[in-house]
Formats: sequence, structure tokens, C-alpha cells
Amino acid sequence: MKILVTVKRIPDPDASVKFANGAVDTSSAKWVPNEFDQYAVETALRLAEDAKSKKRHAEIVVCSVCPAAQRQHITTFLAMGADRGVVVDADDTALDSQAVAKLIAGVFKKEGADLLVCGKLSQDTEGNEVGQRVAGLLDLPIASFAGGVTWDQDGKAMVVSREVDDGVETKKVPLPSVITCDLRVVLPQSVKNGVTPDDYTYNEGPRLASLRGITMAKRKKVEQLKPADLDVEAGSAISNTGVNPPPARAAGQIVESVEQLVEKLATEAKVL
Amino acid sequence: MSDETLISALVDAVGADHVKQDADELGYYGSDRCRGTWSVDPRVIVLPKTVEQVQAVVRAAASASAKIVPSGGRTGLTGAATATGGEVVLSLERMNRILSVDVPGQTLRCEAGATVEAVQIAAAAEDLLYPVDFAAKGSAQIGGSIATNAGGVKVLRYGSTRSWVSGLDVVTASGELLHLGGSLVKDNTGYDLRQLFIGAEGTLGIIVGATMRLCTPPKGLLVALCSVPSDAHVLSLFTRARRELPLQAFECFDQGCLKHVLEHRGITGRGPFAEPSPQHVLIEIEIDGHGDDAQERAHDLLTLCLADAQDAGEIEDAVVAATAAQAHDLWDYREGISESLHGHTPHKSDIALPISEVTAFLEVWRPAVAKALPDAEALVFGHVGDGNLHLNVLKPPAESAESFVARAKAFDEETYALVQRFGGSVSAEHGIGLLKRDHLHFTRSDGELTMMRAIKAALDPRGMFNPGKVLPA
Repeated sequence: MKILVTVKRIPDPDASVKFANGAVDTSSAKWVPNEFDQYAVETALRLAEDAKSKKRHAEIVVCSVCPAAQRQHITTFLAMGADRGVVVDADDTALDSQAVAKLIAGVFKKEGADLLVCGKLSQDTEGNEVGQRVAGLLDLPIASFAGGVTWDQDGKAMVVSREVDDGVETKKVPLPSVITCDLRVVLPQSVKNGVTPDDYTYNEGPRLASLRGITMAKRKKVEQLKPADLDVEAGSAISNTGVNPPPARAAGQIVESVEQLVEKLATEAKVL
Repeated sequence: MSDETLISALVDAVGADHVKQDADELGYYGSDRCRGTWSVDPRVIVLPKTVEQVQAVVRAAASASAKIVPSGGRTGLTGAATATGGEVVLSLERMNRILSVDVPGQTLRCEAGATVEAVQIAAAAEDLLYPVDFAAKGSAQIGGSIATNAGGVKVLRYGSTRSWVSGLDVVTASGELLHLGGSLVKDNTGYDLRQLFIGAEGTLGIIVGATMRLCTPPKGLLVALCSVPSDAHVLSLFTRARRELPLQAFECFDQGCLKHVLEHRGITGRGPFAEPSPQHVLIEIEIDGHGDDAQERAHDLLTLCLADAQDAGEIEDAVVAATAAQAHDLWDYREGISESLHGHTPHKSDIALPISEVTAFLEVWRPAVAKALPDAEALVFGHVGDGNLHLNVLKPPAESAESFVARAKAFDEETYALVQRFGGSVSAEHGIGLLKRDHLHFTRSDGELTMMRAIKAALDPRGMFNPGKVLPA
């Protein structure tokens, strides 16, 4: 069993966005790991391990499309416990979702992976496309927005509960397949693999990197590929016609009394 | 002067809307977060808006021979902002303006009632930092934090409030306004009166405005949490960390504290570590540059130091936060302690020790608690990097609060005698107030107490300001 997990670095979502030359300026950005990808790696780890004995029964490969010099986030995920990494060296900010999906589909085939686990979206572009596109390109079954995953080892399938508008839908996806992860997948008992006891409770959220994990991460193998190695022409069919900051809001006013508030709502805001 | 004359003089000073005598208001403004055995009994609450109004209130109180309790955010833990004998409570909450930020000079001028958080926010708006930071910052006012020389979680790196006071405006017992210092960096002109009012808990005058120093914020921070096999290893880990790391914070909490935080938060998992350990240390370090390289350098520095500590047996395991959210979660274990213990009627002591004596003290103190209060849970957390421990003894569930408090108070004498033996202080950062007044002699000599009384008599000859706090009235 081999699980491929997509991971991405994004500009710090808590920092204010800078603009330059009609585009978002990331030249001075602080890069951080995408939150949903942490959920994806946590999901893969819970599927792959026996939480009691710490033994692994699946290999976890984390894969990122990014400039090779900016792969620190891979180390973060290796420190969490992934076994090795693959970097596809490309400027991901110049690629559209289809190009990224083709590259990841290429890595999935090259690795002969059984399961692709993705975050449901990356917090910078909020595209929510890559997992679905990879499934389409490879003609694989997909369960998106997973809030719970149970590995049916005998049936060679994943049973995924997903939150939809009118409740929770449960899908069984035979392997090989694609899962994209939503928030609730990292609750204490959301992932079951048939090996870790069903009543085992994890800490909520993605696990922290332990000291041992961090030390080991530096020795783990990270393979570097070019788009050409995967027979993919990296590019974008989308042309950007302009990005502008939202108009600045006028400063608020502090009123002295309820009467003044009512008066201003009536005369200035004209909402009464 | 009769009661009515005092009230009418106060109304003349601040306006009728800002003189309060309802029972609700008296209760609300009458005391801080420390509920002691004393009664809460303010006569009237006044809320001036300007320095002139504060001066007028002081003069009115002086003519009526009334006493004044200066009142900030009342987040104190020793009863220093409590009125116990019919005093006028002078609340500074309406004097809450940030007046100016001097960016090149890195100073900020504000009125005393501005909250510590408001000062931090105003500094951050100019990419500057007011680094004194503690849990109550949203309510605590800058004036009160100066009057109590507040500490907090960043003292190791930045020092207490005292280090950040550049200038003070103080109204004296005669109603005079003194400007003590300002934004000068250098000013060697005789006695530094400003220092007297810092940490005086409102017993010498009323702080009405301040010029605070600011600094350049760190480029970034990294946080790790370590599980530590014993109290003694905390000290050896600190020795190593201080030598090798740009430390911002070095905080410890024992297994009992962690257990209560997990219970209080309803955390069903195992917490940060698979195996419980007697002690935990939270380490925060500064990243000395921008970009991925600086981040990675700091990360390597931290993990190498921790790996060496692990080889030396000083830590069992450690986790390092990879994101700001994870760093926040790690801090939450430390900052959630007070709130988690609250329901267990903790009897608290905030003590300071020479850093090198922290372990030796705990080796004696823990068995002493076990002997004197065998049925009570003893918990220790604190700012090890400052030699500041928060000792907590929890009430056994079956015992009444009165009975437990009486036993715990009796044990205080033993704790403070130990503190004295190890060359420590009975109050590291909470102050003296009413709660620790009778224990002051464990830390201050007779000679020092005589001099403190002389200073009080010189600055406040009629004993008008905050009677009974720090020194007996």
C-alpha cells in the first residue's frame, strides 16, 4: 500500500496581502504549509500506522509542485512522519490547476500509488480543483470533502463520510482512488484503519513534529523531478487581466450616546 | 467636612454622571480579583476624565480627610485595588487615550487608563512592540501595570514593566502634578523619583499618564514544548538553552497542571506527549531575520539544542510547532493553567528565587506540602527563566473553603520562611497589596521597612493614598 499526499506552501494567510504590478506580490511573503494539507498528511498517517505499536503498514509519500529551492514545507511534513518526498521543480504560481493536476497524476502513475490524499483546497487560491482533476485525468473514483475515513482492508476500499448540504453522505471508493480532506477528518476518532483499535482517541488536529521526527526528517529521501520527466508541459491556460486590492473602508465613528447613534443611522447611514 | 459636602465637592470636580454610589457600582469598582478575608467597603466611586479633574478629586478628598484608592483594570491578585474602609475609589478608566507614538524615538504617550492591550495595538500600528505581555492585558490598564510593576511571560527577554517606563505624570497628595522624566534616553539629574512610583501600588501618588518605551518586534518566533523527567532537569535545560538560544520565554509546568488543563478543556487525547512526564518546559526563541533561510537556521538551532538536551537526559521528548496555529496551541497549555485551576479553589503563592536555587527550593517545598497538607494537590508552574514560580495548593474536594484557606494560610508561613532561606522574594510579580503585607518582612529587612515607611510619610504625610496596602495604615 502506498499513499501519495499532495502538500503545498502558501503565503502566510494571517499576513496582509501586498499588491504590485497588477498582481499579488509574494516576493516578501512568509511561506507556511497549507492547513488542509496538514489534515491530509494526518489522515494518511492515521491510515498507515498502528497507533499502539507505532508500526506502519503503508508507505506515505508527500508530493509538492514548487521551486526546488523552496521545499522547506516538505521537511515539515516528513517531520510529522511521512516516509519520503517528491518535489516537482516548477514555479507553481505560474501554473493553472490543470497543469498542477497533470503533474500530480504523473507522480501518482510513476509511483504506482494506491491512494491519493489531498487537502480539499489550498488557502491561498481556494481553488478546490486539483483532487477532482487528478481523479478525472486518471479515471479514478473520488470522495471529496472527507470528514471521516475508514479503511476496509478486506474489501480493498476506503469508506468515506463526506459532509454535503443535506447531511452526511457515506461513499465506498475502491482502491486506487482519491480522497480530499475537510476539517473534521482530524477529530479524535475520524479515521479508522482496522489495525488501531476503534476506540483509540487521537489528539484533535494534525500532530506536532516530535524531536525524533525532526531529526529523522533531515535524513529522509526527497526526489526531485522536472515537469519534462513526467511528460507534462507546465504552463497556464489562464491569463491574468488584473488583481486589485479591495477599496479601503472609511474610518468608523464613535458615538457618545444611543440618541446620537439613532440620529446618525437616520440622517447619515439612512438605514432607519 | 460632612459626607454630603465631600460628595458635592466630588460632583463639582467630575460632574454628577461620574460620581457613583449605587450598590452595584460600589461592588464592581470596590475590589480587584483577589477576594480576601477583608470587607469590600468603598464610600463612593469617581471617574475623572482629565488630569485637572484628578487633581480636584485629590484636593476634595484631602479637605474631607477622606482616603483614596486608585483603581485601574482591577486585575490584581493581592487586593491592592480594594477599598476596605469607606475610601473614595478613583477609577482611571475614562482616561484611556493614546496620545502619541514617537516612531523614531520608539516611545508612546498615553493616559493611565489605556489598557495594556490598547498600548500594544497602537505600537503595532507603527510596526513597533510594547513587549510586556500577560493574560489580563485586555482589562489591565497601563497605569495599574506601572503601579504594580507587572511582569508576565516575556520578562526573561524584555524585563518587567519598570524597564519600559520612560516618563510618568503623577498627581501627589497635595494635588500637584509632577512630570517625572519623559522621552529622554539619558537624564542623570539627581534622585529618579519616577522609580519610586513604579511598583508602589498607588500608595505614594496617582499615576495619570505615562511615556512608555517601545521596541522593534522580533522578525519571527519558534515554539517548542519539552517533556522533562524532573524538576532538577528543568534547571539544567535552562542553563543549556540560555547559552545556546535567543530565548524569548522559558516556562515550566508540572504534570498536575497539564492534567488539569486537559480535563478543563475536555481534551480526550493524550495531550502533547504519549507518555506523561513530571515536568514540561515551553521554549520560545526569536528568529533573527526574514525569509525561509532565517526560519530554517532558527529551526536547526532549536532542534540541535533540543537533541543535545535529549542525549544529556534533560528532556524525554519535544514537539516543535510548524505553524503559528500550532505555536498558539502549545502556548495554550501554559496559559490555560490559571483558568483550569480556578474551580479547585487554589491557594496561590507567587514567589521569586535566585534562578540557581529553583530546584533546591522545590526539593524541600514539595515534601513540606506533602507533610503539612497531605490531602491537597500541590502544583507548580511559572517563569523559570526569571526564577519566578507560581505555587498552587488545591483544596481537597470534600473540605469546606474556610477550613482549607485557614490550613493553607498557616502553611504560607512555612513556604515564605523557605523562600527567605533560599534568598527569594514573597512576591515576584503580583505585588504586596493586602494579601502579602504581613509577609513583607520575610523579604525586606527592618532597615528597609523603616526607610519605606519614611518615604511613605514624606510623600503622603496624611496617609491618604491606598491605606493599608504594602505597609500597615
